[in-house]
Amino acid sequence: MKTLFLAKILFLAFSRETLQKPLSLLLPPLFLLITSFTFALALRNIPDSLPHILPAVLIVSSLLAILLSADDLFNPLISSHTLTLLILQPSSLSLAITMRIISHWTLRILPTIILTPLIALFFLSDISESPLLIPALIANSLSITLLTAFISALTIGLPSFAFLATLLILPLSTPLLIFTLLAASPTPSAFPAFLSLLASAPLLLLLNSLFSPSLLRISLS
Amino acid sequence: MTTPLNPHIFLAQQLVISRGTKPVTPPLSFSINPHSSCLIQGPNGSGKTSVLLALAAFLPLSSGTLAFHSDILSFSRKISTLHEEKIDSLILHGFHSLIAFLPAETPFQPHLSPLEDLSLWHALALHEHSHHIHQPLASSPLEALEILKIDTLKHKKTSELSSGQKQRLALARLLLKPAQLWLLDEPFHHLDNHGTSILLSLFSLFIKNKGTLIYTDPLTGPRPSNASTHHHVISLPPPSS
Repeated sequence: MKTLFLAKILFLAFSRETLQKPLSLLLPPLFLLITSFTFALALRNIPDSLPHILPAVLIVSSLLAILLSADDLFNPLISSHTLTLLILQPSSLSLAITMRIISHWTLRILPTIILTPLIALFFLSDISESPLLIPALIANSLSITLLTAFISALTIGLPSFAFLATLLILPLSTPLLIFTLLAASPTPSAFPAFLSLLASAPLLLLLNSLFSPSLLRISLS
Repeated sequence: MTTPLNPHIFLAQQLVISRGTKPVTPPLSFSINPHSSCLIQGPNGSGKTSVLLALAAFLPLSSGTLAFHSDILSFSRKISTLHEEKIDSLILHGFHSLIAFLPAETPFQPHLSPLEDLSLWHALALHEHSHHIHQPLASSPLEALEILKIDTLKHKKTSELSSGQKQRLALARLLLKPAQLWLLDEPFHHLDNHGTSILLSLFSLFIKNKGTLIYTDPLTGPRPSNASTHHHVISLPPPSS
């Protein structure tokens, strides 16, 4: 019960911090909208191809949108000395970090998925034909956010960490992107692919809760 | 038969602390007694903060040994032949939960009011009651704000507070943690005379409650009203260019 209570107050405190910067909240959805619209505009002369490329465009744009906001994940905790104080608390640092990632995903990344039906309109696509598209995008964004969090914790103490983190995240996210693409396609293999994608989130969450606290501790020294 | 009590809470021998590859202090040997206060003094750049961070196990040692001993937990840190220092993570977690730390730059969450900020840290500090022999100096966030005389600002945004008021808020956080050891980096920074006298009375209260206090101050010589409160001084020489 105590852990649930702590999880709640940590989530609320981190969410309050994010909501104080409404402009930075708008950035990922706006980015997704602009990139998708550019693709639709470029391919307007071959309208038949548009519905086929919709999942790929959404997946790549949401990956880039997540990378765009990756800096806000742990950097503010370190620069405001909040991390130092969190380490010194008897309560679990891993809980605080997990809540930080979940609050980041809920407020910054999840809203980009809401735009999917609107973007599908640009692409003349009927999203009811691939019912797993939106669930797959949600699962994909969660797994990629968790992967980004782990890599950020690993590299944050190093010089030019943003570059290093991107360099590591892009190849490591490729399997996730392939599974999402499969899950979003209207084929019989879509459901098994979606299940595999779904399984990656708890694994990555475990990885984060086991190692990210120690990695962030090391980054302070 | 009674076992002799270890008189020191910290015992350092030939301790060298480095930032990166460059040593920031000469080899230091000192001992700090429990239930006393210790002042780390020295000019700017002499490595006061580094010594404090090394005592809190936030910085690794580059040579020498540092032993910590209390009634709850004891451990010793030294550099092995591989020049790598390993501290068991459970011991480190236990050690860290005994400490209340004040960083040099005032930590604050600009989006929370002082009361919300303190409530958050209060909940986090009281998560496990396994070995809390030491009572926190304030039992509630409101009481901590009253002690530091910033209770009238409790609903203001933290970002609207002055530097001195932010420092008082950072000090109020210390009061909520059942800590055995206070490690404070320049606690008098930004404080006015009234704030300084509140802090000095908190120092003596904390030591009376069997706490041990270690703090840094860039001014040489004790503060006028402070002469009786510190029992030990570690003076650091000016940095070599």
